[in-house]
Order: sequence, then structure tokens, then C-alpha cells
Amino acid sequence: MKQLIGLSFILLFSLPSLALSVSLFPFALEQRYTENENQDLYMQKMDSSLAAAFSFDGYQLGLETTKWSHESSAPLISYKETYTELNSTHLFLMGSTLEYLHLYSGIGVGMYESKLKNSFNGIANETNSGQTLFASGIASAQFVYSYFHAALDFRLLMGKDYRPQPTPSGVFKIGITF
Amino acid sequence: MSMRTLAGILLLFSLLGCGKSFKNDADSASGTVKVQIIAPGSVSEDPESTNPYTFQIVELLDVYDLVSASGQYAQFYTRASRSDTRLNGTQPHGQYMKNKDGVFIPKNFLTQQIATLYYHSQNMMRLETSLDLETKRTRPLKIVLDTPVLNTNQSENNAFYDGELDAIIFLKYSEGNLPLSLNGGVFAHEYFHSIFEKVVLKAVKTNQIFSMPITINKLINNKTLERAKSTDLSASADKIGKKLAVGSLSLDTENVKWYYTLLVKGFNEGLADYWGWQYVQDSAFIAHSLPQTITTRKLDLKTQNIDTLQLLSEAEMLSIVYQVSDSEEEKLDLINAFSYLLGSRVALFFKSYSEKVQQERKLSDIEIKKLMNQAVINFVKSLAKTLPQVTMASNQSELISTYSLMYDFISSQEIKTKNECEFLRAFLENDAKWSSKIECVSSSQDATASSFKITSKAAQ
Repeated sequence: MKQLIGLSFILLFSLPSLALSVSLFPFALEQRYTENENQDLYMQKMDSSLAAAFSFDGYQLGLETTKWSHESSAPLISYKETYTELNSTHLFLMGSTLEYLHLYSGIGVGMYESKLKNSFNGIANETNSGQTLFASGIASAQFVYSYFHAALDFRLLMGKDYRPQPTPSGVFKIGITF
Repeated sequence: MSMRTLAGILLLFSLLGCGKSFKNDADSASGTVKVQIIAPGSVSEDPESTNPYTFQIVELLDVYDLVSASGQYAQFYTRASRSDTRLNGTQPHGQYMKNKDGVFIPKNFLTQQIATLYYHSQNMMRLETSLDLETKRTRPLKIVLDTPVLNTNQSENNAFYDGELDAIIFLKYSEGNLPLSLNGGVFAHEYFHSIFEKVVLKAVKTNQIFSMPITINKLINNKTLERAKSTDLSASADKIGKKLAVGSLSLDTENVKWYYTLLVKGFNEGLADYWGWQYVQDSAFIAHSLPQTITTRKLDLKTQNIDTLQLLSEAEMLSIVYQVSDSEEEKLDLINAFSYLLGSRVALFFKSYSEKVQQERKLSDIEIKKLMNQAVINFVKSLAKTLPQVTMASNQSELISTYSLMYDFISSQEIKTKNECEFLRAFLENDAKWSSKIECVSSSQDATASSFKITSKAAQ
């Protein structure tokens, strides 16, 4: 396990030097079409998202972290489930138009951990899901001009706690590339 | 293989192949499942629980599908509607997180409700099958959440059993206390109405005397209940009492029908209140959800404005029946409200009798529950035999009084101590018919076992 972590770190730190370009996305907006407790579908905004992308010849590796939460309550009772996701995306270049616009498709593989805090009449419990795998299918349109990099992704996510299955998602990212 | 083909294969894999391995833990949970619910310690038999309602880990039995909480004991509906006597609706989707001990923790309020109600339903049905009772109940029990499926003005903060749909319905809860759907006593109360419906109301259906439109068994109708409480019956009851002292009171058909509507609904509400009390061992179980009921529905003498255990007297019952109202609807409302007043007194009698027997015979909580629940069910069965025989009375002396029903109950009891017997005698003596005319005598043939019975003094 230690060797695997070590190898991952070496890979992570050597990626920028191996990549043709590196993009950082401090601004990322993600909306998911998710299901609430009454089985109604609604658009939920992710609380925070950060992303980086390493572009190679025809391949783009992305690393992302996202936080979001679900809440439910009634008199005396409340529930809050907070998800922390770490995701890697593997996109393959499908084609380019107008030199600046690139179309990618690929998959995402990541881990999430959710914490459920439920409280009743002032007494609270916390339950942790442990680390759980999730995957996604991704189609991405990216605009790169000079140092400017914008991406609009459409994703279908699958994780055992995600409803509906798969969960459609849209991600819009703006960042710099160098 | 080109990059595009590879990407296509990977995408297809992620969309189709992975779906199966991302099955939620709750999707495959069935049979016996451990869940976290909110319930009183007395229900889950948690010896450490002192708080009336807390988180409890319990086992749900015979679950077919945990996500919809459908199983042998309950089936849930949301967004329900009715077409005649048919209930339509969607099954809720529960969401759970499984902890390291294999316990499923509800992730939202809807899931909390269905898990908790399944548990109470399971307890009630298992209790019912342990008793000598045949209700021909269809399983699972239908439970409706958050949707008004009746043509009623009240759309929230109530619960009721609908005999036509054979379903327990919880309306939306908007007060800031324990939601009605999590109140175990309220569930037991409503569940009892389903027993009474199947045993008694079904039996009296063909008798025209019971043709008044008995309103649905709502848990509470606070407005009318307050009105009933503030209505001073003493003047009219005195007047009727004086008439009764010198002779009988003639009755018309409508009055007889209203009288029996009040009697049946009163006993239905009262026994349901007792059933709620025995389940959660809490004399103010409704007040956890609806605090205003503490002044009307709490099962103690002070709340019921009486010094000793008693029912409504014959004169009081008749004065309610004779209350003049502008419309039949208003009269029905009034009778409905007073039925809760009679009901609380019936419940208080059964609660007090249960406590007396437990104390006298030094029985455990489980033993007294078993004994009294069967006694109450036997009483319900006797009502189902007595009430259909009722014929149209031309005067009050031909009516079946509240106390004569209770006399039937008391006569069927095995009275083991002198104190138990005196308790019952004192209760019956509130009725003018038996006042100073009955006494407790030993009926034991065997010197090692004691038993008593209540007889009229003239019989000695």
C-alpha cells in the first residue's frame, strides 16, 4: 500500500513535466440532476469544486475535488449528509474545430466519503459511509485560447448512494492553462 | 484500435457495466433488517432509555424490500388518491446509510417515518395474532403519508384510520413537536380503530339504528373538542335527571340513533386511547405531538374534571343527544366531540383497572399487557355480539347504557382480590342503577385460591 501511495505521488508530481499543458480551474460550477426524499428530481448545485487538468497528445487527465450536501428536516429532527469526492477523469480527444474548440469523451473514476449527521431532540449521531468508489461517463467541450481554458462537461455518474442511477451532471469550469 | 474506439468502449463500460456494481446496500436488504428508528424505550424494550422518544436500534422483520419498506407488516403510499374504495399512490423510496455494525440509518425524514411505522405496524400485528381474535385482516397494512386522501377540510396535523380504504393515514405535520407519524402511541390508537372497524362496526352495519354517518376516526378534532369541553351540560343533565327520577323519558327515532352513535364512537375512541396508552405506557401520548390535548386527552382524573372514575351518566348522555343544533352536520360534529369526552373516561377506566390488577397481583409489565389486551379484545368481541341485537327504543329505559356495557365487561373478569373487586364496585356504583345496591362477595370454592364477584345486595 505504501509503495502504491509513493508511486502515486511520484506520478502526480512528475505529471506537469510530462504533460504538454497544465490547466488549473479555480472556478468550477457543477449542477446535478438529483433525487430528493420525495422522489422529485431537481437541480442541485455542488457546494465547492476545484479541478486541474493535464493534457497530453490526445489524452487529458483531470483531478477534481467536490463537496456537496443533502439536508432534510422535520420538527425536532434534522438530517445532513455531506459528500466529499475525489475524482480522476480520463478524456480522449474526439476532434477539434476552429483550432480552439476541442471535443473529448471518456470516463471518470473516483472515491467519495459521506458523513451523515442526524439529530433528534438535541441528540446527534454521526455515521460515516467509508470510502466508496464511483464512476462517470463524460462528454466535454473545451475552449482553449492562449492562457484561458474553459470546459463544459456533461456527465453521467454512478455511485451506490447516488440517485437517480445514473445521475446526470453538468460542469462548467474556467481556468488558466500553461 | 483508435483512440476514439477506445474512448467509446470505456464510455459504454462506464454507462452499462458499472451500474450493477453500484447497487445501494439497502437495495438488497430483505428479511430481518436492523434499522435506527425514533421510538420510546418502552416500545423497543430498551432498559436504559428514560427519555420518552430517542433513537433506537430495532429489527424489522419479514421485509420484502427495505427501500420501499414493504414487507409482511406494512406497505406505504405517498401522493395517494382514492377512487371509491381503492387506494392509489406511489411507494416511497427510502434512503439509508449502512453503518459498520450493519445497521441501516435513515438519511431523511421520509425514510425515518417509513422505518419507524413499519416497526410499530409489526408490533401491532404480532400483538394481534398473539390474541384470541379473528379480524380477517389483509396484510400488509396500508399506511399513507403526507397526502390528504379524504374530502376533508383538515389537511394537516391529524391521523386517522379510514375503514373504506382500510388504511392508516397521516396528514402533513406542521406543529413544532414530535411528528404524529413517529408517535408510537398515536399509531397504536389508529391501529385499534382498524380492529374495532373489522369486529364491531362491521357487525352493526346492517342495523338501521347505527345508520348515522359516524365521522371518520380522526385522532383529534380540537375545535369541536374545546366546544364540547366548554359546553355546560349540568343544567340540562339535572333537568333530565329529575325527569328520569319520576319516570322514563320518551325518545324518537333520531334521538335513539344519535345516542348509539355517541355510545359506539365513544367506546371506539376510548378503547383506542387505552390501546395507545398500553403500547407506550404514557398517559399523555398524544400531547407529545399535539400539546394542546394535554387539557383534554390526558388519561388522569384531573384532566377529565372528575374526582372518581366514572363514565358519562345516563342523564349526561341524553342531554348530549338532546342538544339542539341548526344542522345535522353540526349535530354530528357535536356528537363527535362528546364521543372523545366519553372515550377519555372509558380509556381512563381501563388504564386504572390495568394498574390496579398489576399492583394487586404483582404482575410484570409484559404479563399485565398480555392479560389486559386479551380482556379488552374479549370486550370488543362482546360488543360485536351485543350491539347488533339493539332494537329501537321508545324510552330511555330500553337503551343500553354505558355502565351496562361496562357491567358486562366486569362480569367477564376473573376478580382475584378484594381490592380489585372494591375498585370495580366503586366504579359501577356511579350509576344510579347500582348505587348502594351491589357488593363484593367471595366466590371461591377452593380455600387456596381467592376469587370475588360483584352481586346485587338483594341476591344475598
